[in-house]
Amino acid sequence: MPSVIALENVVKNFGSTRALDGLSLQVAEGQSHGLLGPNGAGKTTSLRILLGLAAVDSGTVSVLGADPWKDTAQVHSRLAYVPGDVVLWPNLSGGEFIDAIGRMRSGFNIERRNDLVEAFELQPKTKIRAYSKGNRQKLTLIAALACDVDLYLFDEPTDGLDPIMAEVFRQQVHHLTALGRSVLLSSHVLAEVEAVCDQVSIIRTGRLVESGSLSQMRHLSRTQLIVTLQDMAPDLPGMHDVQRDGHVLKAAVDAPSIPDIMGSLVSYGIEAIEVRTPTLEEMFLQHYRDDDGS
Amino acid sequence: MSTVITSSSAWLALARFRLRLDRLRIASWVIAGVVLTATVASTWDSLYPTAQERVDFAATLQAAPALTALLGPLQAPTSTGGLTTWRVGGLSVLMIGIVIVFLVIRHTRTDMSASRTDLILSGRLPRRSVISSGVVPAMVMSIGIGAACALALGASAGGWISAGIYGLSVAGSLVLFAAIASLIAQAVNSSRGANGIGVLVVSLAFVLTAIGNTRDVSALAEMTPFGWMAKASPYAQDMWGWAVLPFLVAGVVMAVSLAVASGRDVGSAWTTEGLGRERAPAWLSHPQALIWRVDRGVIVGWFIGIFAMALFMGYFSGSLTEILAENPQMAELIARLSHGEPSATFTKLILVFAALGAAGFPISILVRTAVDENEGRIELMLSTRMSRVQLLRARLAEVVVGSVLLLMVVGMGVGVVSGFFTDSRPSALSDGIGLAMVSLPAVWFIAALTALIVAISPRLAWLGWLLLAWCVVVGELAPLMNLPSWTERLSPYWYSPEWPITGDVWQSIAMTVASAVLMAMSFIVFARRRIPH
Repeated sequence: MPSVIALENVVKNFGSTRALDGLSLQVAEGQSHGLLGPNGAGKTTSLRILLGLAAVDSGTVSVLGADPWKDTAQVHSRLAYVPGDVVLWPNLSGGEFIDAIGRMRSGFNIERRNDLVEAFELQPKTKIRAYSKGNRQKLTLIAALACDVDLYLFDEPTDGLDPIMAEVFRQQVHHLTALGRSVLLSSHVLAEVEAVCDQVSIIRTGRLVESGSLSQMRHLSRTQLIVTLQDMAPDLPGMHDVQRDGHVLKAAVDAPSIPDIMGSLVSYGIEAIEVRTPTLEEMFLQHYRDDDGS
Repeated sequence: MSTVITSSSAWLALARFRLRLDRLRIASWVIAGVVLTATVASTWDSLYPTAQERVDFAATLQAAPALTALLGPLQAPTSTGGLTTWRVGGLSVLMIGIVIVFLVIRHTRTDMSASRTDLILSGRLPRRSVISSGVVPAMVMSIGIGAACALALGASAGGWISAGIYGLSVAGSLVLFAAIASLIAQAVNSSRGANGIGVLVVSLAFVLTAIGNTRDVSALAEMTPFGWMAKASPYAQDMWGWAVLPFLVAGVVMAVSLAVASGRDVGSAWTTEGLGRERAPAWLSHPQALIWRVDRGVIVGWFIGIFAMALFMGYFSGSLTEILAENPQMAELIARLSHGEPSATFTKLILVFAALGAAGFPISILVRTAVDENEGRIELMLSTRMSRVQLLRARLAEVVVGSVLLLMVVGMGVGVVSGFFTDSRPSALSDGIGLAMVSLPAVWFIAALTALIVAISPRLAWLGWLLLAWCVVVGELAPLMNLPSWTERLSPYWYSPEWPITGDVWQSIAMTVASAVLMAMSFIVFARRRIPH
């Protein structure tokens, strides 16, 4: 599948600070891709480079087959962007803002705009000055979602939204991916990425730590095993962080070793067993811990 | 009791924090007050060295009611202090009064709009502390300027008691405007709106006083702080009471303002936010339209303000021009204020000044691009099909065309009104427009330099305003301050041709070409740099 976004070894410095340190990132067409990282990891800088707002110091960038720094107009005519942190014009009404920004993008669809206003329960006549933070966030979301483009870029899109509205947003992203559109969503909220993205890239201090589908990443990471045995078993190959408490054995298990370990444990008499696939949160922490260790 | 102490120390910390935010701003205005007072005081000895000349000068003023209206009655013509307070008192309180209003709004309504007050009030402080601490920088600046003016005046003109009364008058008037501004901040729900109403109130007080002075409706003049300044009569009758009066009134206004702040919801206003449009109008669909839509409030404000100023100036210019022809002494004073050219008319003096003011228009529009960048809107706009070139071009189009129209409005306002007063001069309208329009290349040049500054980095935007301040200093104050004459050549206005145009205008053409080159450079710079910078 062709890539809609391809960053190769991108380095970006701000003075003496290195924001991106050889970042590589691939988003395939039709993918819903989550860009995960803690604050200051380089998520927003990556998005600005993808938009052609900042040039790279080294490395290559391709968005929708073009260089966003050089062919900005061509790239922008096929994408819509929701910024993470923006102060909107206070004296415009919400409806005016959505229309004005939407019309300056490609494929602004008025029926879709009206449907979105309804779905997000927005009062479009209100002046932006009088909106709450969450309602302002809805404005930039609607102005992007109402446009039929090939690529959507979201920077912390559910910031300020209540859980019900965050769910509306998730449905809208599913709607986009069902239509075959590509989405890149940056977030530090793991649940959000888990709910809407099929691919995830984790970045930290300007570098890609891990990238893959959620199932792949779960496969790569360790499963938490809690088993009650009649006879205590010894450490088996593939077990880590083993704890024993009476008849209960707790261990982190490498995913490929699970069949062998289970086979061996049977002979020790399994009374109860609990297996947990790691949440993204746990994977996330694991990556950081590993990174710190190296 | 410990709560009281803690709360008051919290208030002190907040007040100190606000002062700290504006320490440079306050210090520069106080210094400006000293420099202006001392410079003007130093001019009289060379202009009118003897007491007889000064008495003659006062007599000529009788024939110029417009000047009396503008500056108030000259009550102590023989003393340098009397002449100085008459010359700069009202005008500096008008100018600094507007700055004081902005300073109060900045620390009150702007904080409310940005929800900073909620953060402050979540601590130990009562609701009214938004207002009581918000006026602190303005109050400190008012008193600082009053003290600075008194010291500068006493040192250069003597008469310490009179200088003290003058200082009290200045400080009291400014304190009163600060108190009024704190009420306006609670009444109007946007900073820009509150600033506008504040400017209106201060200007209206000045205009009422001017009308009172001319028509000899002293009751009208006595209603305003400007009138009270004249009543305090430093170097003549030294009336302490009139100098203290504005403080008393300010105390009452402040008490009302604090009571209002205690009794109402924080951030509420008497104006309610009306509903806007459900859909954007059809024309709002391309970059130029969006930029116009978001800038038009500021643009319309400039045109209304400049037009009102032009009408006011036209009135004085009209009634003075005739007198000057018969009055060499007055002509000499005016000439000294206008680049030392004896042939200069008062209309010309006024229009050069108005053209300087008009350059504030392109600066205020172009720095909006820097604000857009700081607040993240530029990223949003540039993520659409709007290009960097389109964005900058939209603002430059407003500025290039707007400067032409603004100078036309200035020239027409001054021309029509001054022509109305002196119907012997049917060419007043064309003269007004011509005198204003000769400054167009200079205004464009300032606009182009500001565009380049904003294109380079939003952090440099303040340099645009510095540029204008520089032009005011070398253009208007250099002759007064006896700066070397070459400094005047460092202002684009120096190269504006005379009106009616007699010689060649290659300097204007060169300046226009230079503006175009600077604008082209700003496009190149803006297209190549990282955004936000």
